[in-house]
Amino acid sequence: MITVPGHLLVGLIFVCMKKLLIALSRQHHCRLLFLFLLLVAPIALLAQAITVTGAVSNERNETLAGVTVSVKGSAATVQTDANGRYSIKADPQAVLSFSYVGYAGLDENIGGRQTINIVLKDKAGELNDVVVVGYGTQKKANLTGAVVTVSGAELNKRVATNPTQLLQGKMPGLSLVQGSGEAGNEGLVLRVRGQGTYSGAGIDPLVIIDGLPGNLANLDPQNIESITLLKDAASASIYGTRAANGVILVTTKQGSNGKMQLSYDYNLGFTRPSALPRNLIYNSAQYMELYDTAATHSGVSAQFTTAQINAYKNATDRNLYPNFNWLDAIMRNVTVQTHHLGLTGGKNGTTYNVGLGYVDQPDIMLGFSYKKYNLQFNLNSKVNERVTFGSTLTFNYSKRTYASRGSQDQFLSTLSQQPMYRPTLPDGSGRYVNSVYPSVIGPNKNSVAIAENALVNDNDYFLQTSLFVNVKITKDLEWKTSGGLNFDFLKRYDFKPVIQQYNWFAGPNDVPERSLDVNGQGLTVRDTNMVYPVGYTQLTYTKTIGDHNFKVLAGTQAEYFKSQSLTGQRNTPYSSSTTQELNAGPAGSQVANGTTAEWALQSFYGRLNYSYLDKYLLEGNFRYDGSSRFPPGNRWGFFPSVSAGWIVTKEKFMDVSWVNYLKLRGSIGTLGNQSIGNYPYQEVYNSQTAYNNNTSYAYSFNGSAANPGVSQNGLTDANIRWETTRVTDIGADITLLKRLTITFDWYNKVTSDILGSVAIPQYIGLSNPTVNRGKMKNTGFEFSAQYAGNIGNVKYSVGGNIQANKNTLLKYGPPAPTANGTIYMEGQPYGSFYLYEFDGIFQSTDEINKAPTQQFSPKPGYMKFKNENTDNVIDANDRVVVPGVYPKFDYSFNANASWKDFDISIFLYGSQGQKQFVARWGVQPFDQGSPPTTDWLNAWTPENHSQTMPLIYLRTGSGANNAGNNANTLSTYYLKDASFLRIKNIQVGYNLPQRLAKFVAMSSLRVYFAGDNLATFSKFKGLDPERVASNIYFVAHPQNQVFSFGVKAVF
Amino acid sequence: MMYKMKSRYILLPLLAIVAVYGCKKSFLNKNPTDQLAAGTFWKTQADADLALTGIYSYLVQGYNYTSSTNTGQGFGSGAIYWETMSDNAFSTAFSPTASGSIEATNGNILQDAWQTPYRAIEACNTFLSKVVNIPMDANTMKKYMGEVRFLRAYHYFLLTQLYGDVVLVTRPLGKDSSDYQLPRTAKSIVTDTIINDLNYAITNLPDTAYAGHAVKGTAQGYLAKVYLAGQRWTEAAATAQAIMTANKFKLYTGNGGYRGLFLKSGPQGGQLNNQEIMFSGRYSIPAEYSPADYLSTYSASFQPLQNLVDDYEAVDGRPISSSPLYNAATPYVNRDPRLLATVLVPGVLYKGGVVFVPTQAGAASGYLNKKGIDSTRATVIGTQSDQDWVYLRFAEILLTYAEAQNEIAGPDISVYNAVNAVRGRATVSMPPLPTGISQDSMRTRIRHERRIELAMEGQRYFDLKRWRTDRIILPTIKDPGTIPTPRTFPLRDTLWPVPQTEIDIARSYGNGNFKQTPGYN
Repeated sequence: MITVPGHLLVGLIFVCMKKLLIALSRQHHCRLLFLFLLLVAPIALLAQAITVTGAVSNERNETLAGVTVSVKGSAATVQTDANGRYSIKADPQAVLSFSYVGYAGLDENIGGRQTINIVLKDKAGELNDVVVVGYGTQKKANLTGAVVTVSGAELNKRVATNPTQLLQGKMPGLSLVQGSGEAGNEGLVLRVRGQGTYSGAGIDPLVIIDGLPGNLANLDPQNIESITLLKDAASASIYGTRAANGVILVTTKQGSNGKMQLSYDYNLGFTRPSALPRNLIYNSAQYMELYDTAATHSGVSAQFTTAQINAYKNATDRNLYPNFNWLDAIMRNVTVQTHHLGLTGGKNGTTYNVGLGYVDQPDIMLGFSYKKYNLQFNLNSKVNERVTFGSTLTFNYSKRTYASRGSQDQFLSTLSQQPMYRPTLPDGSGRYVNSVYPSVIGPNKNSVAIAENALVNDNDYFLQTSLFVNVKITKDLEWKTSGGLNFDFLKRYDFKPVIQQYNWFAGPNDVPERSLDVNGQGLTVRDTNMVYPVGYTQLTYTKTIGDHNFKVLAGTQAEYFKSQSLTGQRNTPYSSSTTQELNAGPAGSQVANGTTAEWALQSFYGRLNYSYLDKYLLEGNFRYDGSSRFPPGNRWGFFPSVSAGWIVTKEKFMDVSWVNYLKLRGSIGTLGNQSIGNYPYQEVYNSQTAYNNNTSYAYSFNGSAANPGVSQNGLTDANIRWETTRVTDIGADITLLKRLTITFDWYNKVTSDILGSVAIPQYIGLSNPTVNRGKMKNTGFEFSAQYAGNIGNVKYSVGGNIQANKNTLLKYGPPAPTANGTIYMEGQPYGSFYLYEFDGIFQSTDEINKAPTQQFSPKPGYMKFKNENTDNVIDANDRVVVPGVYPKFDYSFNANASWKDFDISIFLYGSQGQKQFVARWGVQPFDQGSPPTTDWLNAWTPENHSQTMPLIYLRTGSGANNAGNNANTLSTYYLKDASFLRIKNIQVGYNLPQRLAKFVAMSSLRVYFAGDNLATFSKFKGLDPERVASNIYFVAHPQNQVFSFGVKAVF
Repeated sequence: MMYKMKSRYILLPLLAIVAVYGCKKSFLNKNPTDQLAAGTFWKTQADADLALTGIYSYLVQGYNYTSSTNTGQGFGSGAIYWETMSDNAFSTAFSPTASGSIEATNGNILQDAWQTPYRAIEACNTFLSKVVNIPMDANTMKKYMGEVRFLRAYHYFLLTQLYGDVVLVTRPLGKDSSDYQLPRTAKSIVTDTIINDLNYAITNLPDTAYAGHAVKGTAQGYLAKVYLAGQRWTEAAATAQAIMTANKFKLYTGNGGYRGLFLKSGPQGGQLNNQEIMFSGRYSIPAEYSPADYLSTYSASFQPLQNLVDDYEAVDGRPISSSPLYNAATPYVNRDPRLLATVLVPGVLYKGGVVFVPTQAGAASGYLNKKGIDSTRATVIGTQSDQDWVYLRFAEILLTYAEAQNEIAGPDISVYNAVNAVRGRATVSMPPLPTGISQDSMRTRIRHERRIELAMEGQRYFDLKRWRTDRIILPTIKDPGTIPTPRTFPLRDTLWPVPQTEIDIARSYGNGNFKQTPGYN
């Protein structure tokens, strides 16, 4: 018996690992987790293994060699020999899993048997798999809508704190841009088949978790069983009013019958920025000389004297006269830890699945961090043959620490610092620096001082829970009722201490130059809570009459949402930073604010499935929704869809050996969108102004106490109605040679009656109203293919997908340019670039005189802009629409291979055709003092006739015609190609041979190395090309490059 | 075939349905809980009070531009900003507009100065159209309407001074398509409306001292300003004379004296029950605070220029260029006391006891503003300042009278009396003007007196405009720096462009009547 030594060995290993990990992270929870592991480890050792043998064949009675046989939930794996025979050690209650290329996988309960022979069915049989759809499940073969599914196992090849991140490139039809790598605040932008509307917040897909609306970010990725994306109207219209932007259905892992199984996952990720502008001039003397040159071009006096420059140039004391790279002060490499403990099993009809997750993610930017604690608890119980009930519960606690003005502000503040000084004084007193010389205009805030003193803490408690009861009234009729609740409580502490900043050369008794800008002073505490109950009840009737199959679903749903916030502020500086509670501060300056918002939705929905001979498929869906957000007369909306499918390969004439499966399908339907604010039709009088949330309509007539006041903020349209999205979809699902599966979809999606804010003249004196006015079209296609095969013992699969979408604004009203160089114009993609066209650099006065009349009376070295009309004068009318605001297409490749106990997977993701407008810090020299890039060493001078770099300037110069004003023109000069292809992820894994695993008392043990964002191929320089398009600043928190090591142990 | 159901299994789903539809009737009726629905508003005098307060709040809301620093609730409708546009002060924060590079696309103040008055005007128009249906005392209603029409005139006066011709809106707009086709109305017609509104206010407002709500004297004071701006000397002099005769307002000589006019509390505070103040933007900490402290001392956003400092006379009433009392080595000694009450000069204590050193404070001009700043308060970022912003006070009425009367009749005794009263008030005590000077010379003296008396109060920029000396004086101003930067001032800058977005929007509605200010394409 190996029980005793095994136990000891495990204990020993744990002690070693524990020490290692404690060394890595001196955190209590880490220790607790391991203590827990130590306690439960012996449980795994109670069962005794048996040897199971058998043979594997196909439906034609041919034996299959090379079939993978594994014990489910462990790494124990063998392959069948030339005669199709296998032999494997396993627990008598375990489940054996059989898989072979071209055949459908099969799971078999051992149930104490020692001989198990298996017949594998052809791959097409996989179409008998069930897919989660709206309010139910469906056989994959019977789907007529555009639906794509990805398994949790596939998603978890990468490691991420927010499961949403993992969807990138995995689901054709879903585009995901990760705006930044900031811990816990990734700025994820999800779009299903393009941006369908522009009505405020209403462009995100609806996320349904285990049947009820939920929040993907609060799940632990490891707890996800599968994710389904409903792309077209046929599949999504059953979600009616919120389906217009697509629906993401998430199913969490359920327990399965069998003995309790414990698993533990650990990942240690070494994380660094994917890109940083490493070409900034951080040589102090060079910086100062360039600055003085730039100043003279910008109508400003030189800031640095020759003596000052020489002091740095000839310095021997680099402590006092440094060449300091500020990026090194704020950017860092960090170690991210992820733990997951899983417990699953079931007996006598009751199954359970428990997941405990913990993530500790310090950010690559100083001061920022994110921690996430997650509990998932799913329970299902079969009371008797008729009644099943179950529940799911997600509890997530997260703690996010960040600078109150965000990571972008920290980044740009860092760039605005000059190389002549460090974050703190050279005398070692720890005092923070404001500027190098008192005569120099101070830079932006000292970002290190912010990161070390003035951070916001968000403590978020999120609960997502549901309960269902399923009653089989007759053998054909099923009644399901489900109810659930999302609850969120966010507590925010924003402490704003008084931190003094000094001159770099300040003596011990010198007064501070200024106090640190910490976004106010004192303490702000904010409580936000949200309660969101949802319930539905539905009947499903299934009937087969001869060759006709029917399935009818009818149900009703109600939901109610309420969010409230309460903010308390004490705006006088606190005497101590250790007492960060409201009561610890002076009460004389306190302010309180509170809000409530509610909406409700009531719905009826239904679906009819009909199939004839399992060959001709027809489906109809509808939803009838009533929303509190619309005026009583326009409150209810009806959203129907129909779809049809034809499995051509079931026809006699299609008996072609290499075409295993071919289904053609088409759908059309209507979807709605209600995300337009809570009370958009109501004319209201507010106490807070709409255009600036710092101002209210209160006024103090006596000068000592404020009287309440109100005013109307916005113009309203009392007759607004639903906006509707009509989607047409044509698609095909194909299997060739049993090994190649292909899915293709073409769609046309038109949203009309778009509720949008319409710009009205400011002389009307009210904010823009929300009206039904716009129309927008998205057309595109999605294609995905996957091929699986084997060469000897090496099994492999390769695949990829591509999606292209074209957005056109059909109806908007008059073209509306924005202050950010974009425009809303009919016939163009929504929010297209609208810029002056850069036309080189003026080389001579002669050239200037011959050119169209430019703004800012240019001099040689100034930027030149193109005249686009006939007047030969450059003005606002010369701005033109420039393509590139959206990518032409996104694509991804995957390749997987396994050989014996080794496996490797590679995932590439790319985006083509998008441009990004990037300006200011890091691009424009000396913006708030930010160091120029080395490109500016090649700036235009009378001697160096550059056509790409104008003469060096200060962004904010003095005088009407300074070079800065010329260069600040929003032009195509700042438009950069942001196409990229990146090696998103590579993972190399090794599954410990079963007997070795057993020896350490585990049923399996997998170790792997993975890399995320390993390499990026792009013309975009300096920072990551993947960024949010609306960001017009170059600086953005970079993405993370992660090298990680992980283990997955099953006991 | 039916299974036999046990009732307990269906209890739960039934309960769920009951829970969902239990409150069916009102389930979809959701109203905002922190806003007032228009349908139930405008019913009582209390509603009128709320709306009236909302209109007054625009006096302290200021513009988005400053609020973007998140430090406060505005600065008296941008009054500090106007100083940086004049020869009194400069600002790095407000360039390029302040340095003379005014373009329709500048945004910031150019955007806000157009937008915010119209928001206030909209609130006025809605008030005037709705209040008439509220059952309330007829005289009270007239008083309310008088206040609102005064405030509408106030905002239109600001707009006409900046933009010349502006869109004249006197009723709530937005529901009718013709509302989107309005042209800019000639300044003279807008001015007629302003005068009408002010006359209505003069008739209907109580003839009392100012205590937070506009009174008859407030409206008269603005009427005098409007006449003065239009060079309607006789009407200006008569209106000012009417205020002087009514004797409801007088020069303040109490606690803190001249400096106390601008401080609410503290040892020098004199703003409360002050008979000189005729109109102000009122603040109260902590909720409704002014960022004046922040802008003046913390961020050093605007800084008095040497040009202004040099214009203060020596105590003998002579300019420093000729006064024997002036010593360049001790330049702040023996000067008009208003200098040290207005300008923070090097070596003086501020921020609750810190010695002012210009280089450390980021004051490139060498000075910071002191008017309206409580120097005994420790200033850190976001300092809450509750000093009221004085928009109109009796001293200005005296100078208005003197200026108009001098244009009508030359320097008669009433002109001397008015100017000398301002110069000679206790705590200032500057010697009277020399007798027997010419009309031209008196004009120069009055203009000088206006600059000194009203410095840092946001008047100078508009005075330069109406004297048409902006185009002469401003190009001679150099903003400080190692190499002082000369300002540019093309003639077109005397009127501002409306924001480019407003032009774009007008075009989008096919409103060809709406034109850009001449000179800005």
